[in-house]
Amino acid sequence: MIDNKEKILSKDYFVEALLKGDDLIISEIYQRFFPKILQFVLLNKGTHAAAEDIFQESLLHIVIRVQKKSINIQSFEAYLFTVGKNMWRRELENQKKRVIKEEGYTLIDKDTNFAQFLIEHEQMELYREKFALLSDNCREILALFFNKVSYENIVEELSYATINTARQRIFKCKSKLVKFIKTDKRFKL
Amino acid sequence: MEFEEEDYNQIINYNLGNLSEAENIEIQKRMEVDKVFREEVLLYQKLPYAITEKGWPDWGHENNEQEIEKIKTLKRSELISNIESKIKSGGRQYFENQNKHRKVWRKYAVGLVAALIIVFVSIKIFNFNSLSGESLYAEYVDWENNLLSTTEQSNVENRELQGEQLFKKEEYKKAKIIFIDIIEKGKRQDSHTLMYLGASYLELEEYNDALQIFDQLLQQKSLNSNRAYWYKSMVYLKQGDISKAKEELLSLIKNKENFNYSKARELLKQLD
Repeated sequence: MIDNKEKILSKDYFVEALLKGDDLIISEIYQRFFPKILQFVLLNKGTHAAAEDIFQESLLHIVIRVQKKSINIQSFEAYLFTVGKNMWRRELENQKKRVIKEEGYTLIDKDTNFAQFLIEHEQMELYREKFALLSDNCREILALFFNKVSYENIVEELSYATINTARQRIFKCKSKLVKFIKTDKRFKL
Repeated sequence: MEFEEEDYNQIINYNLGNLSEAENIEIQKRMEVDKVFREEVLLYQKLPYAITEKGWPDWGHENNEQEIEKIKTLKRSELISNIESKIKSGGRQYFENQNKHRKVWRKYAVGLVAALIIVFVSIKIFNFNSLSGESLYAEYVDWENNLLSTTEQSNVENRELQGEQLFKKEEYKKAKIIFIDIIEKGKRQDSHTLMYLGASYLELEEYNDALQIFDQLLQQKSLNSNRAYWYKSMVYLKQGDISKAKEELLSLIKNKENFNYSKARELLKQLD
């Protein structure tokens, strides 16, 4: 249960403190929120140093998104953790590519990498926002489909007549989602 | 531009990896010459990552160079560079304090252990909540029927089956290792893996980890995500935290379709 103090704090308190560069509150941010990101990174093949880096970059991500006015935070803690998690997962994917491609891999400078991630995260948020606009049925069937549940199980779960019916429904829901995304002025590929 | 239904079927199958090698080559050639088609394929490729808890694929930023430069310029500006320094110094301060605390901890360890023994004895004598929580946990926990079995899942790998079997034999430590390994290798972070990992943590009394995993299950927003309410209530029951157990059960019963709805109502009556 979130008490009143946390409710008041979580909305703009931490964001404003970051923008002002408030040492005391930045330290509080570390105290409250770093352990969770640390645990996630360590549990996913990372190190303490990597977690520190991810945490700092995630805070900067929030600051720049606020400057760009392209952010809508409901909970600072939840948003920070989401950014940190996604940033680390992306880093793991990039590490895999470096191993596979070896000599053919072009290293990207840190700032370019940061900017690319920011654009990608903005787009993912847009996709999720549009996904939430779909009907319950569409969200349910796409959630099953994207989580690689087989057509047979989808038919059984949602009581469709045939696999073809399910396929058509999935196609229609996906098309709707794509249309929502593409017609938003924030969409970019 | 709208494509034909046949094109979309090809795109979906390409992204699912269902096409033959020849068909894949054909699609890739078309992507090289038809920019609009390529963009459609990339967009469809990214859709699953909008709602699953996975890292997304290589994005490709050919169209975003201007935007990237703007962001880089902003990041290197005086304002942001100052904030970055503050964040780094805030971090240094925090880690220095952590180290100091560790040294203080070692210094007073003996006294702390003695205090802990006193607290432990008090808890044992006076903590009825813990006792009743544990007895209710023993009554309601039912992993055999409350966890998805591999026979109910398609596309399950051998490692998951192995982990599940170890869990059923109550070899929770070994099961935990397998499921963590599955997650770390990035192969699967599906409901099945998360359920078993969370349950393993719970049985090993690693409660914070159990709760974190069940929270991840909840955040997945998949068909089985709502099971997390039940599992979390079990964690709190075992810990003797009756009020938090009740909170989870109250969340569970908000929707009649949620897993163990009737059991949750029954348990809530016992907890009142």
